[in-house]
Formats: sequence, C-alpha cells, structure tokens
Amino acid sequence: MDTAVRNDDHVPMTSATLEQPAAPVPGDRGASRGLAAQLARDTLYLLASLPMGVLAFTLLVSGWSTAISLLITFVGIPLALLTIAVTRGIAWVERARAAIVTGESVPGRYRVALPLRREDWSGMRRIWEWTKAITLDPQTWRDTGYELLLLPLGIAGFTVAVAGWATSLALVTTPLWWWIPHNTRWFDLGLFRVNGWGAAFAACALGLLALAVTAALVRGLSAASIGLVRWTLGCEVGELQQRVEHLAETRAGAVDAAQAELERIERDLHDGAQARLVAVAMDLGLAEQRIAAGADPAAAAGLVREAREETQRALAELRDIARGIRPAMLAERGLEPALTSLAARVGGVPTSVSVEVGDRLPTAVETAAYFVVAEALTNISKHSGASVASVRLQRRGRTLEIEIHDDGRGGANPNGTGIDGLRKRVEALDGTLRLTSPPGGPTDLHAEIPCGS
Amino acid sequence: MRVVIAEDLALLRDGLTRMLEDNGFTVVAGVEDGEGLIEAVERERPDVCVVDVRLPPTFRDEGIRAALEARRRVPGLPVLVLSQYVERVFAKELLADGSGGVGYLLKDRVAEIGDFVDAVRRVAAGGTAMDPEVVAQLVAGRGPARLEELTPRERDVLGLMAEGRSNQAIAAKLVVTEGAVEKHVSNIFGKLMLPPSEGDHRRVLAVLAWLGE
Repeated sequence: MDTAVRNDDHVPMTSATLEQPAAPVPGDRGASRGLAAQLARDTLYLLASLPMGVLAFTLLVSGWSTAISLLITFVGIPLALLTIAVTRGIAWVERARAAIVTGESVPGRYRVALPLRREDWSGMRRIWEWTKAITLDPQTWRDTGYELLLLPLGIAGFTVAVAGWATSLALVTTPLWWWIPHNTRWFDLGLFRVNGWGAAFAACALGLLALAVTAALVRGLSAASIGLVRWTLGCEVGELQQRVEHLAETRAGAVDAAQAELERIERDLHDGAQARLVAVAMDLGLAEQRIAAGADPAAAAGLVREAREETQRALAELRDIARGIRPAMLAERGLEPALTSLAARVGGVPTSVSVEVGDRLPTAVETAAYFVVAEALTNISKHSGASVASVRLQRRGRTLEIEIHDDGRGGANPNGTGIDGLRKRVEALDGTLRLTSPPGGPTDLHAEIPCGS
Repeated sequence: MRVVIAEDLALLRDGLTRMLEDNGFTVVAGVEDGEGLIEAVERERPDVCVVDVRLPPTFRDEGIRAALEARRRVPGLPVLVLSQYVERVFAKELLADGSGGVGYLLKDRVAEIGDFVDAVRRVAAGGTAMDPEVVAQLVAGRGPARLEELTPRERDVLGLMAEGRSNQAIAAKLVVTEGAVEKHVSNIFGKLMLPPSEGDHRRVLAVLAWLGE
C-alpha cells in the first residue's frame, strides 16, 4: 500500500447526543412523545435535504466542470482539490445530520487527509502526489455520488413531507372549518365535497388515515436516506476488517523484531563483554597467584596489562550495545545532532543531512527514524559505491517523512533482512517504508511515520 | 594431570589453558564444540574435561548434552561444566547417573584461581564441585520442610557439603575443628533421615540426591 491508512472520523461526538431527551417520560405518553419527536426530526431532516441537495449539486457540477475544463492549464488541479474539499465538507454535514436524527455517529474514513496546512502546498510535485492519492481514494467518489443523488432525494423528501403533512392536517381539521362560520355551501376537497357534518367527519377520518400514511412515508424516507448515508459515507466493515488484519500483522512483526533484537543483544553480551570480563578476572587471578608465589614481577605485569586492555575492549563493546539500543546523542540532543554525528561516523560517502522537524518527536518515532537512517547509511557506505548521499527528514503535519537518496549503483534488495527489520519497525508505528533501487541506481528510501499531533 | 577444554570463545579457551598449565595441568586438547569434545575424549582419555554449557551450533545446552554423551561413551569420565548462569535442572541431569566426578560452576569462579583449581582436582579425583548458587537453588527448590529442623550452623555445613567440599575444607572455611564438623554432619544425616554413608563423595551425592528430590 502506498499511502498510510488513516482514521479520519469527521463526526463530532456532541452531535450524537443533541436530541436526547433530558429525562425520558415513562409509559405510553413517553412513547408517543418519542414518536412525535422522531417524526419531527425526520420531517426536518427531509425538508433540509432539499437545500442541501441544491447546494451540493450546484457546487459539485460547477466545481468539476470548471476544474476539468481548466485541467490543461494546471489551474484545474487546485480547483479539483478545492471541489473535493467542498465534497468532503458537505459529506461531513450530511454525516452530522444523519447522526442528529438517529443519535448514532456515522464514522467517515479517508485514506488521504486533505492538505489543509500551508506547509503542505510545497511544490507542484507534492500537489500532484496529493491529487493522485486523493483522486484514487474510493471515498472521494462515494461522497460525490451521494451528493449528486441528494438533489432528487431532497426533492422527493421535501414534496412528500410538505404535501403529506399539509393534506393530512387539512383533512383532520375539516370539522373545525365546518364549525367556524363560513359563507360557502360546501368545501371542495377535490375527491368529494363537504356539505354537511357527516362529510366533515368522513374527511376527518380520511385525514387520520392520511396522517398515518404520511408518518410512515416520512419515517421510511428518512430511514432510507440515512441508510444511504451510512452505506455511502460511512466506512465499510470489510475495510475495517482489513485494517484490523493489517494491525495484527504489523503488531506480530513488531513483536518478532523486538524478540530478534533482544536475542542479538543477549548474544552480543555473552560473547563480548561478559566473556571479556571473565578473561580479565582470570588474568588478574593468575597475576595475583604469580605475585603471591614470588614469581617474576614482569610476567605478572604482563597479565595485568592484558587484563586492562581487555577491560577497555569490554567497555567499548558495552558502549556499542547501548548505542544499538538507543544512541546517547539521540536521547540527549534529539534527531538532528544525532543524525549529523551518525553521518560523520559512518563515513565513506559524503552525506548531507537536513532535519526540519521542529520540537522533539515521540521517543519511539525518533528511535525508529534514527535506525532507518543508520541502516540506510551503513548500506550506502558498504554496498552502493555512491559518490554522494543525502538524508532529509521533514515533518508534514502529523507525519514524519524520511527521504534518503544516493547516486550509487542501485540494485538493493527491497526485501533484504535489514530492510525488512526496518520496515517492521516502521510499520509497528503505523508507518510505511518504500525502497526503490533499480539496477544502475539511484537508490531512494522513503519512509513515513505518523507522529501524533 | 591431562585436561580437555571445550569452549567456543578463543579468548576464554586460551585463558583457561594458561591458567591450568600454570597450575600444573597439561591441556591435551582445546575444542570448540560438542562433537570436538567427544572426539577428543575418545582419543585422549583425559583425567578431566572442562566444558562450557553454551556451545555451537545451538548455543543453548550443547555443553551439558555433550558432557553427558562423553560420560556415556567413557564411563566415569570426570566432567566440570562451566556456565554463565546456573540452572538446577542441568545440575540434576549431571548428577542423575549417581556416580561422582561431576562439577557445575559459574564461569565467574575461575577468578578464584585457588578454589577453581581445587574444584578441577576434586572432580578429577571422582568428587563433586557444585556452585554455591546451584546449592542455593537446590535448597530453595527443596522447600523449608525438613531444613527448618537444622540449626543455622548445620545449614552452613550442609551447603558446603553439597558444594562437594571435604570435612577438612569445611572445618577450615568455618574455622572449627574437623571433629566439630563430623558431629554436625552426623546430626544433619540424622535429622534428614539419610542413611549414613562412608567417604566424602558418596556423602555428597546422598545430600545432593536428597536436595534434588
């Protein structure tokens, strides 16, 4: 998958509770009042659908036709993005309206968030990438489809609600009109004429029937519209399932990676520092024995010197192991100094480092970023034969982007164990990592890690 | 006295070789893995082997398994196993055949050269050398049931006895007479209801067997 899947719930939680009665009235009265309130909500919902439909239809049709006709001049691209933003805005309102009627929020989910911050608009290439990703997002087109359907739906709902309620009310209240002094001999109701109390009450009975039919129609139409909202604007169970599977997979990967890391550290300690310290202890014991036995002091001094050298090697190894867990420079100073010092230490290929991340990022993100760069630079200096390399870290909104480039011979295996370990590390943080390394080069590594707000 | 060393890290193999040769042993072979150990043992018939628990290829308990196999091929072969950490399960496996000539020590003990060399000699002579850590684990595993009947002094003696030390060594360590140690030992055997046994080695095995039950 190219882009990060991101949960983007556009419905504010408060809307779900707006219409809850403060204290439910017990018994039948409560139920009938609840039904009346529900019908009132349904009616208002259907009435509001018409202006929403007109608005959506106008904005979408004019937006897209302008954008498409200007596409050739590139002005069309920002216009298309703007139209998509408007589409999302209307979808947001529609989800909120549905939530008010049902009391349940409708979660919406987009693969790609809209570039709403100014720093997102950096360069044509960036805008082009956004446009492509957003255009490929299926939810964009589900939104659009729904919003175009909203106009005919709105017309139908509005007509049914207005005509239904008006007719029913007029019929039910016929006896009242008949009772009020009037100067005609009959009322012409189209179907029949009311010319006496009997007809008036018959009209009233017909009105009650019409009331029931209207209530059912209003309820049904509103429920159907909301069903459509859920189906088109809500996220699908299947997609959520996919997301769950992806998370389970990346979590298992993270656990594997952590376990492998621990085993490596244990091996390093056992074969390195621990063994060296045993050797030191042995040397010192022997020296002690020789001195106690009154042997040649020079021989004992040799053993002591060897022991001292071994201690230094043990210390160096312990330092390397500690650095492999979390580099001191990173912990104390942050990404930029740590990466600059790393680039200098790896050596071999002149590397430019540019870090624009603002404040400190979460520890896990910093550490992952550091090791991505460390592994990449090690590979570059070992295998690439590059003459120059660059590392660029940039924070875009809620995402840390890492781009590492070298002009070497390419041909790196994107599924090699080193890269796979890094990918697991990045995916554990819900990020993505991509390596492109065609034979002959150049090699590009691109990683994105979400880093909270 | 002829020794075979099995240790995969050259640094430690060389150190052990130097230390043992300094103390009058002859290192007839230094090998890197379990297969090498069995081969060397069958060829050289050494007086004692010093084996690291962790050997290639699995780096888990290869050393224990190789030592047990070597003892199966050359019955009564004395084996001293060294380990970075101790596991009473390994100690029990080594002691399982009920014959002496086994030792199980933490690698750290090599620094106490006098003690270590003494342990190698004891094992070579068919005795036992159990690390105090192993004994502590065995005692802890045994639970307090019977041990509560022992006086603190008797518990000290029990621990040292389980490590494989002679009455003489225990007396020196606790700064008492050998007679006093003998009295403690017979009290311990009485309280734990162990059959009285002659000789240091068999006595130690009885204690270890009781602890390991």
